[in-house]
Amino acid sequence: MKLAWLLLALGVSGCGADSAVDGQRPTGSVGVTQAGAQDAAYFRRLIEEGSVPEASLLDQVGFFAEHALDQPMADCGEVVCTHPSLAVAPRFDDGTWTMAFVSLNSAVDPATRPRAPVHLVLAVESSPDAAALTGTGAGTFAALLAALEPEDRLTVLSFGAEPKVLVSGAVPGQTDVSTVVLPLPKEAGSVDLYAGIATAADALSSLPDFAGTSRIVLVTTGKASAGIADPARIAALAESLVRQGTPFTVLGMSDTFDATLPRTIAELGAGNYAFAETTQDLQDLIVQEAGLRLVPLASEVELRVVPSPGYRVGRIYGARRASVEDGQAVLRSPALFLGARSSSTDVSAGRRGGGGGLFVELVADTSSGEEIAAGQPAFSLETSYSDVDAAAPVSFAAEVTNDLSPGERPSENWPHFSTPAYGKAFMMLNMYLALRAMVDLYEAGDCGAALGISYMMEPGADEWQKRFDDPDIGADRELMLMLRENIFNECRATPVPPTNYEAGCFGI
Amino acid sequence: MRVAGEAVRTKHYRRKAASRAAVDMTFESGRYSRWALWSSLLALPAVLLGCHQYYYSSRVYFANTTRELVKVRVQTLQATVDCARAKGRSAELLAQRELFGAGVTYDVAPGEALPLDYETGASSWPRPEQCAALVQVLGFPDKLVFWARDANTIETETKLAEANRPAFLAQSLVLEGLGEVRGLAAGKGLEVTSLPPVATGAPAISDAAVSLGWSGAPRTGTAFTLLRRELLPDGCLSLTLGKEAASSFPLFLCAPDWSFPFEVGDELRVVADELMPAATGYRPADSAPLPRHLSISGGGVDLGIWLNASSGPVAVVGEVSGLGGPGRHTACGAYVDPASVALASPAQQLMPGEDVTIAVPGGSARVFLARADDVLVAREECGPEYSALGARFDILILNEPAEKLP
Repeated sequence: MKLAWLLLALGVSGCGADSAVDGQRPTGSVGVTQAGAQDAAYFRRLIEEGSVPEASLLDQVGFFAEHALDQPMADCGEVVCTHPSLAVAPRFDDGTWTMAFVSLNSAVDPATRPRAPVHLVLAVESSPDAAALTGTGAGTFAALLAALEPEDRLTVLSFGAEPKVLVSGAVPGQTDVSTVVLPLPKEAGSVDLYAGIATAADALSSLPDFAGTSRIVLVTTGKASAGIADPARIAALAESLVRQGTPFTVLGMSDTFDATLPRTIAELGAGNYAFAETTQDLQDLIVQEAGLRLVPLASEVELRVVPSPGYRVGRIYGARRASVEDGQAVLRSPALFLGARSSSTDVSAGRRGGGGGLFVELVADTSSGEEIAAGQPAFSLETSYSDVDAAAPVSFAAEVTNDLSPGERPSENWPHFSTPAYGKAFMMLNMYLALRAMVDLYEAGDCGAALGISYMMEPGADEWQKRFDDPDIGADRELMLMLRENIFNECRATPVPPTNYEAGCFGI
Repeated sequence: MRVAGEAVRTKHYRRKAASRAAVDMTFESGRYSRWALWSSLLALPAVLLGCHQYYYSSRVYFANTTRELVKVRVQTLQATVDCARAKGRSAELLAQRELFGAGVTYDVAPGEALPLDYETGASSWPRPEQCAALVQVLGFPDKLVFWARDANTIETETKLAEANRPAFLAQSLVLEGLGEVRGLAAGKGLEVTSLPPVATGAPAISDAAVSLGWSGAPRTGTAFTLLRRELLPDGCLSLTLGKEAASSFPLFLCAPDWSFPFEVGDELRVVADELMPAATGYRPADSAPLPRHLSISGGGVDLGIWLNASSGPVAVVGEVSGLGGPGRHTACGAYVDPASVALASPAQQLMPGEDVTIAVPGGSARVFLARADDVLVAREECGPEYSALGARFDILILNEPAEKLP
């Protein structure tokens, strides 16, 4: 697709067929990533066009999702496996960069699961800003209904100042939706987003004779200006729907798009998150939902990174829903789905991977006064969830050891990895931190430091490429150099290495 | 003073000050507003024109007492701040970069001063009261500079820093030293706070979901029948009301379970007073948003909800009063102190989250205070709760007769 970016929230089809699945014991491996935010295509495009993008356009989850990350086999014997690893690197100052990483994958192949009929509930914003892209919607609704399977059902509702169900339970091949149009938006343009989602929730149970699964597709500018406009309350409603097992796709649109709420909902990890720049993109994205299957794998998922003695939790990356509780990094998700497409019109522009995970910085903690020797545990990962198919709780734990003592720098200017074959994730984080710091510092008016970051990071990226020649990291390096040129063209400052920079030094 | 043309990104303004060399002033893109432009234009020296006997007039200055030219980036306050109450608490309330607007970079020559307070000078454009600025000097942590609203205005005779004048120094952030040995000294009349570097991983702030509210554009009228009552998965109610199904309307109500005693088939009267959509642009601090009100009554029972009220909506509820700090930052960048609401009879303070049943003529009233905040820093980016200064609250009152009517 030319001008839209899309990230399938939870893994992709095709990767799961790398080994046989007997239906009882999963053996293959499919990446299961955290909730899907927009990828970095727009950020990348602005840099390629010679601009310095706003820092808010670089979404970390979206950036990570552009990278293909190898993972260990999903051979844990459960529907979702977790893989903890550790990297220890020198910092650019005298300190040590100690980072834990957790990735998820599954052996379940969604292609082996039967496709249940789906009741698709399409909730479309009706406001002046939205109307610029949606038009009347008539053609889109007809195309979507035509793309659904005969046993599927379609409900369409609009929401502006108030919600309105336009068609309920339309049957593919039978119901004529050519006259179903969005109401003319009112001039004031107030949008009751809560009412839109609540009406969609009501619609899920509006077809008593329907047997199958349900899914909500929300088309929004991100505006919530009427009714219950509290972002936390709106997000709580969406989360409660996902917790019930309802996949929830969010499609953004409009020049005035406010990503705050859509991204929060998308981070629930229960569907697609995409942005349409044109009417055609929007129609394509909506119609593609007909071909998407989301297989529920787990509910009430909790990942808990518990630092071992000698460490405490520092910064967290890769999952905005993660928090620190009692000194432990905790990531909870109401549900995990595995995505699969049955149509051939998949989206791939600007997207190479499907990578991502949870990064937790571990800071050497000497407050206990206890001397921790090399070769001791750095952290343990506790995983728990409910297996949706088995309706049974699952929990397991793993411990990761640091071959160095807490805070000890590696002897050479190269990181020490607990699992060297999967070290790319840490380099990916470093490249994100470099790009983010550059645009942040530029935005704060410190052009010299913004440029300095790139000169600090370039040798590390070069060294990584010399050892691994990875296309993703190579593209990140090129992006960083282009950004440097753009910043220099804007302010022509002398590069100054900044202090207190978050990244690790990967070889000088 | 010369305003630098360096570190620019978009707009470039040139204005010739009377009898002075041309002044280049540069504004950066991003969070930019008309009042920011006005503010910066007002920062131009108050040039001697006729009878005025001063060069600068300001309550706070940056002064460069070194022997080198220095670049100073100044960001003005974009938020509405209760400046009087922020005194002594500026680090707690204002040490947030998002409260400040686009930066303007100035070249300040050796010995010169730069006024930081843009209150002086006439402006027809309404803008928040200014009592803080974000000052960045390369090589130093960014400084939040706060000055008291009642601080004396200092007038200078020239563009030079008056480093021998105690009153000037008291209201100045002074760059002093020689060569590599330089330091920033804060005058005793200022509150100066160093901000942590950009992007050092401060955790995102999240607000708890509101516990009172409604959506769905309810109609005002009598003799509506409650046609449907269901529970949404987030615990709120999905209601359908109307005189018949064809003319029905949805109402989504978030309120405690006990507060909606009505059943399907009940005849109800609904009153809904909706707040008009927030006006765009800057809203003066004294124009508090209107409260929203919803009343559903039937069978002698009356459920009343007031959102964002600033005074007692009914006789049983008295005034809202702030409880002082420490408060909290909200997700939208505002800052609020906790508050409570007084009940008239019996006299008692109700804290957020509490509910109490009191006797009223003819029955009882159960009062639930969902939220009470005293807003000290407001932002127009916030919802109505936090877009204006002052103490406001969300409250629910369920009036029930001593004996329920049939």
